[in-house]
Amino acid sequence: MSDLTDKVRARAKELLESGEVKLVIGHARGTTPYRSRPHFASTPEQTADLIHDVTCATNLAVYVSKPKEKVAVIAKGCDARSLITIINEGQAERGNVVIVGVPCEGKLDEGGLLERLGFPRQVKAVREEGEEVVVEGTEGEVRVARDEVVMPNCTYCRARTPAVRDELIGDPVPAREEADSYPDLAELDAMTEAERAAFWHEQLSKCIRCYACRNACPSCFCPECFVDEYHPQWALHGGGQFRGNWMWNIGRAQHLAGRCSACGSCQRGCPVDIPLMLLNRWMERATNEAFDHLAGMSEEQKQLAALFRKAEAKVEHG
Amino acid sequence: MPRVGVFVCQCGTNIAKSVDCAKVAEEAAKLPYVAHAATYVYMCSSAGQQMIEDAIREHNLSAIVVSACTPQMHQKTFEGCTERSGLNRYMSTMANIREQCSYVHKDPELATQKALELTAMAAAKAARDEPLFQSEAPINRKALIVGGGVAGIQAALDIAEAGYEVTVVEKTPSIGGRMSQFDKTFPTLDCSACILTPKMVEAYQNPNIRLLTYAEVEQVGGFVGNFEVKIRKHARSVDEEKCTGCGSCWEKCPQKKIPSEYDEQLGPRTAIYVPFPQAVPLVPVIDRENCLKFLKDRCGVCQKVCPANAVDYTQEDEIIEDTFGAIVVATGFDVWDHSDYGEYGAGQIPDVISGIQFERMLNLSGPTHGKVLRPSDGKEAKTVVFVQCAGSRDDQHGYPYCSKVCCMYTAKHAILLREKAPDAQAYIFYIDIRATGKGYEEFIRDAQRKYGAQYIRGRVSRMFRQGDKVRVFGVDTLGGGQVKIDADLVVLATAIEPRHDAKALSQLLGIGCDNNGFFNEAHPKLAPVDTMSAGIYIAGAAQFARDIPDTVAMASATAAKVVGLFSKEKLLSEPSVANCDVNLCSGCRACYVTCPYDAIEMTEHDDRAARMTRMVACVNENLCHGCGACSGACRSGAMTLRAFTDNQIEAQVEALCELVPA
Repeated sequence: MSDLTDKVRARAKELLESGEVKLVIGHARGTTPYRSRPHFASTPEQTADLIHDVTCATNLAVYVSKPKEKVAVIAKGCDARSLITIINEGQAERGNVVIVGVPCEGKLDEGGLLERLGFPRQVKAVREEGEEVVVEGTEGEVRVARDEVVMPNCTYCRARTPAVRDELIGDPVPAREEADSYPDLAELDAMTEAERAAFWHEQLSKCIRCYACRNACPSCFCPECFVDEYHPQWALHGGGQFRGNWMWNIGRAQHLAGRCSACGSCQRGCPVDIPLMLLNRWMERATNEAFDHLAGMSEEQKQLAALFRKAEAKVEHG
Repeated sequence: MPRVGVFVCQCGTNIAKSVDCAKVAEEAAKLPYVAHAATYVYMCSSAGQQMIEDAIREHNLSAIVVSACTPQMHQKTFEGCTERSGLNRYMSTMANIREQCSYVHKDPELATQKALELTAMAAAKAARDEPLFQSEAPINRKALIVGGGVAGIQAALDIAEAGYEVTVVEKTPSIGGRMSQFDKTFPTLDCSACILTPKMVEAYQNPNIRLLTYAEVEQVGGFVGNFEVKIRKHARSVDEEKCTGCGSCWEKCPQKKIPSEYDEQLGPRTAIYVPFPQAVPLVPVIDRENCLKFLKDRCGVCQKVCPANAVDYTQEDEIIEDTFGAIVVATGFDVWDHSDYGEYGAGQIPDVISGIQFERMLNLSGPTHGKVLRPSDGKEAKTVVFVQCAGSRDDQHGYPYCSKVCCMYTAKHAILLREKAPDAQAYIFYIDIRATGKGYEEFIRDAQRKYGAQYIRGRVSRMFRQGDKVRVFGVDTLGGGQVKIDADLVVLATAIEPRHDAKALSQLLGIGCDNNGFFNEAHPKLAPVDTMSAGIYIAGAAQFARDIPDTVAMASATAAKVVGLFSKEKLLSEPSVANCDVNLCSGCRACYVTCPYDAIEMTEHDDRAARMTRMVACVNENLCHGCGACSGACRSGAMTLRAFTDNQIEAQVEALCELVPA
């Protein structure tokens, strides 16, 4: 049992016992030792199932929707960014959300993990040791550098310690130095416009319009999504409709401009492996450079649409 | 099924010269929902309008498209046609094939294609038009005037004359403004006070006018017809009701050396003071920052000597809340501070003064009792150098614009100088002489010929103290060569600039400022006293440098606007405003933070389906200008603009895509 898990349980128990909050949203062990699932503790006893380790990837802000009573969220940096974003957008009152920050050095990208590790047998446990992740199986253990098994967005994370928080469990860790240089976009940048169009044509053709990306995203909270509307019908329905796929995916990315916490939940949720984070990060770079705006990094920040800078006219992206 | 009629205007040859209008009509007839298409030489003529009205009836049209000029010109004309033939007036759409097509494209084939595309888009929109209805709001028939200078006074008098109540808010203790500081006015040389003070008295006595001096507008809410305004009336420390203006208090006040704002720091005033003898109201104020009673709790002389028992040290600021139907902004101007102009002595040479200081000096009741004296030693000035365009037409130190009045007031100064001291000599450095008003050019010539003012075309490069003189170096670009003058006094025709707090006031009122900081008019030619906010008008130098006749004319223009507004029974608002579908609204506030007119409020919505009360956006239709910023910011499509719904815009894009070759 990791140190952080103990602290999270203790703090959650305290919050519920004192009556300070009515609910603690955190993680519990999932169906396998390398997965977690969201856990909702409303009694002190239920905090015994809480965990916090390298498997706790889900952005928990998605479960916070206009709470009437005080809720505590065990929040990584990206969860906190999302919480601040939705609070700024009227989806929760700041006074009703206790951001219990936890430091994060990256969360496991569990999709296809075993294949990638060449790990044919059952996994018994996953733990972090320094800069390594240790996967223990029935036939011995594999050690692997953390950056190789965490979600790609964790390798350029700018919020490894929650920027806005009410408290912090554990010790702060510094942001990744790569955060502002956008190494993940280098490949797209190197392409010509035509190559980029072809790349996205290929990627977006795969979309089956299951909207898992939308469901996983804390910033997607509209009562009715534009893509579900019929008057006008922005995007033709059904997978395989390239034009509709294009409208949906580009529309989604644009609607997330200045609102994406780079948690990677959309990409993690995508069953056909569309690199959605590339779109999100492309938008983040544009809005960051034009408006000096990063979603959820400060409580005072305005919504992107309310910002104006004379310099914005000069920013160009292909 | 919508039945759209398309009417293609040739605008004489303005459109027809590069657009094949017959072909546009012919092709437009094949577009979806288009039931009739025609072309005519002047659609806006009576015959053209009749043609549209007849076609609507004959072809049973449900909406029309007029492909012609900009809707700014003739939208209302064709709305009228539509209404007269029995349709809702908003079932009409204009496609601009003149300014946006024929004027800018020479190739007939391409221009014709573009005209067709614009027409097709308009037809796609028109097919989805829905009848719209104007909403009504009551009018509160009281006007607020911000600024009690000659502009504010004139506007107040004109509006009051029409029978409406007016409140004038003036920041200083007296109305009168800049004009009260002037000695004489150009080009007639009549005494400024003599022509202004009757108006001041008239304003004071008019039962329809309420003067709030020593007061400022603190908050403005609401909209045309119903502006809710909070005014802070600063504590005067003197009871306006009791005070008789006898003057005992300011005669006895021991604090006698406070630089007078009215005399532009050239003379002193007391701590309890009226800015000038003809002040209206003639009620002094106590300058609490300089009063011994307030500084050290000593003295109290004014209270002791006041025969009316009017001095009240405990008076507090008063907040007055009222509702007004219209607002006139007439806050005037500031004078550019030459202290950052190093070449002109950086404000450190006492004998280099500004034009408005010289104005006070010339005045008989001014600090020097009308004598032209050097501030440094009080000696009479004989050689006076005037420098025009100080801070104007100067990108480096001041402003790019021409301050408009400096040529004229400098000529006036030169004339008055010679009248005061016949042996004095004026030298005037100028770039160009701008004298475009009635009698202005003759006035300049008089200054040169009758009063011997020496005009030197060129700029002054620097000036500095030389003994008890100011040595001025300049260039004479007509005569050639350097000019060196040892002057007793240098008068800078300093630029007219926006009030230092104009920006703050513009934000309070929701009206824009231009690049230089003057208030923005709605249209430079056709709406020079309107602002982009309905019901708020601007007069005088708050809009740009103005002379007195222009200022007074503008003030009367604003009064005509206000009176016109008040003469309506009810206010009708345009229906093409934003509208929120609360079922789609997530309450994310994107529209709320984006709206430039504060027209969106977040209100509670009882969502029965979700069994909860949630916050949603709600549009105040009276404040909404229909700009569409909210609709663009809205992700769920809850916020739409009537007459420009998402559905219509999408149909326009589709229509365009159909026509443009891939």
